[in-house]
Amino acid sequence: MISRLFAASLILSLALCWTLVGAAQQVVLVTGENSPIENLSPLELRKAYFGIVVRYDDQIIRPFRNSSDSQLSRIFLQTVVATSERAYERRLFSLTLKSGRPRPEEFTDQDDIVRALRKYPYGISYMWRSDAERAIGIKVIKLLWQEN
Amino acid sequence: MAGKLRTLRTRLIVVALAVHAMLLPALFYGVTFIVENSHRDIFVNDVRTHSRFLADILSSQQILDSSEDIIAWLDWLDSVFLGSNGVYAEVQNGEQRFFSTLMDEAYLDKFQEDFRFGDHGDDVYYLSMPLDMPGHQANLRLGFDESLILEEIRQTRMRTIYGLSAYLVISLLLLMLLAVRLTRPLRTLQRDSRAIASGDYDTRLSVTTKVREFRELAKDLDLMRDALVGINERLREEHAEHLATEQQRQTLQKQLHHAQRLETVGTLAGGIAHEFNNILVPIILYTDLALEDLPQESPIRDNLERVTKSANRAKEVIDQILTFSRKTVDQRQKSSDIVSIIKETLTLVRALMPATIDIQTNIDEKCGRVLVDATEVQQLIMNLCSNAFQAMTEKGGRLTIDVCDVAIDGESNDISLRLEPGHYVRISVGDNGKGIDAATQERIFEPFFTTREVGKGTGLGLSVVHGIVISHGGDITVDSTPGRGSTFYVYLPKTTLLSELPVPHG
Repeated sequence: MISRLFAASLILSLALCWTLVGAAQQVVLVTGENSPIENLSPLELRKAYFGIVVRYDDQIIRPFRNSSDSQLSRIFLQTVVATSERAYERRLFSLTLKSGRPRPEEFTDQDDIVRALRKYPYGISYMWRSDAERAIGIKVIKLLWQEN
Repeated sequence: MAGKLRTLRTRLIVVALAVHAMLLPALFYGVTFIVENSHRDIFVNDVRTHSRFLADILSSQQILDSSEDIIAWLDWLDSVFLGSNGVYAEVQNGEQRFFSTLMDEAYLDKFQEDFRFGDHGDDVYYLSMPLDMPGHQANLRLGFDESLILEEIRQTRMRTIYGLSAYLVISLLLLMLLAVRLTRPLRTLQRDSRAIASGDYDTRLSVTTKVREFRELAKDLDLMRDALVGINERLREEHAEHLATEQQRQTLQKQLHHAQRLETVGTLAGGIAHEFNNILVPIILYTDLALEDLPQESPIRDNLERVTKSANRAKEVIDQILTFSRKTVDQRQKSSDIVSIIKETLTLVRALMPATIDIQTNIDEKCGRVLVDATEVQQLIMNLCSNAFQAMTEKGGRLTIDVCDVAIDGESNDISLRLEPGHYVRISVGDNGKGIDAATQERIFEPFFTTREVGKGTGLGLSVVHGIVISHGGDITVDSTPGRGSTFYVYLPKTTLLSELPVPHG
């Protein structure tokens, strides 16, 4: 009995390690569990994060920036908005000054992002797939980046 | 060395060097930091935008099903190498991998995704963009050469170094020029101040500079110089005045002592002479009476005549002493033409003087009249000429007699003269004999004072002269240099005749 239990634990641990070590990291686009958003093109996504109004079902999409992880921020800048950090900040600053529109809300705590996504059905954000799968009340829309 | 380090010029340069040593490295690192970050940011922004743009285009091509599609894709991948510094272009679609035909094979399998400039140190910025194609796990993978940017950064860094070095050299040269221009007027002021301090009061403190503060400083210092020179001059004048006053005081004190001594001696001698005179009068009188009673053949007559002769001689001496000690104006004095009296006396003097004595006279004929006893004046001149002759006995010489009119105003004349302001006749009797030393001059008018051998003089000559001059309301001084001769100056007050008085108007 004990040997069976040990063997099962060993197999479970190895499987977990395989998951942690062997699985490639992915960044995914997420929204609230009850959100009607099914998909967004890369251009729509860029527009949204550049502060330009993007509508989905005639509702304005609210983009949330995830600054809880520096590597995640770098992937976001490179893959999603495709600018340098300074260029992105300048763009947002310019947008605020010219149009008076608010810049995308920024969160340093991932739990806050999850709460915001649950609260606002048309809110979108990005996070590690592993975090997205653990979080409750949100869903993955699409893959944004995958580790090679 | 330490002194040179403390100069303004050196200090300015040292301070400037220290400031530059602190600021220039910071400036260099600040400039290069900004430039490097700017270059890197622009590069990263460009390659990301370019990649995203290409990924969007490729995503719009949808699916890779035919060979025409693949050719079109490869054309797009080739564009990476044409328009920018691309070195790597690949599309990964599941297990399929399509590379640009322009890509160097050396870059195959070198892909390591970067998120920052310079990651992995391979001089290539690799990035991956997922392609938005439903049902496909496709990625666009691109690589861009970082070395061009690194070279540009290096060149910028070198240009910054050259620029800052040039700035340092130029600023130091300008600073040295400024230091020279600043210190030059200070040196000029220092040189002129030292000249003034060493006694050159004619030096003016002025500088030729455009710096207003220095010009004002020089002006203020020059004003101070004027004030100091004025104070110095005043102090010098006061000091000279003080010295003159002190000298005058000492001279007057000496004269007072001399006069007091002469007065004391005169009083004493006069008293003794008077007593002796009282004794001599009966001796002479009774001796004369005895001679009248004696027959001519009497052997006693000869002795009595010798008594009379000696007594008369003693009376002459006593008369001389009384002349010296006399203080009141003699009743025999009357207004006389002094020139005539002097000329008469000089006739006698010329007759008595040997040929070795050259007599020179310079007599102002219009000297006017003096209230004098003519006999005493003759005696005065005879005594002075006799003394002059005595001084020139050995080698002969020149006897000068000058007579002139002088005005005593009490200020500009010899302070040793004890005379009231007014007009005087000055009789100068000079010789170029052996002269009189200072100690002898002190006592020369004292009775019985003589420098001659015992028996060769009574020592009464000059004391009689002194007495005559004083009794005439005048004064006598002597100016003598041992070895060069002496000159006696006799001052006698002039008289004014009624006919010479100005006629009152009205």
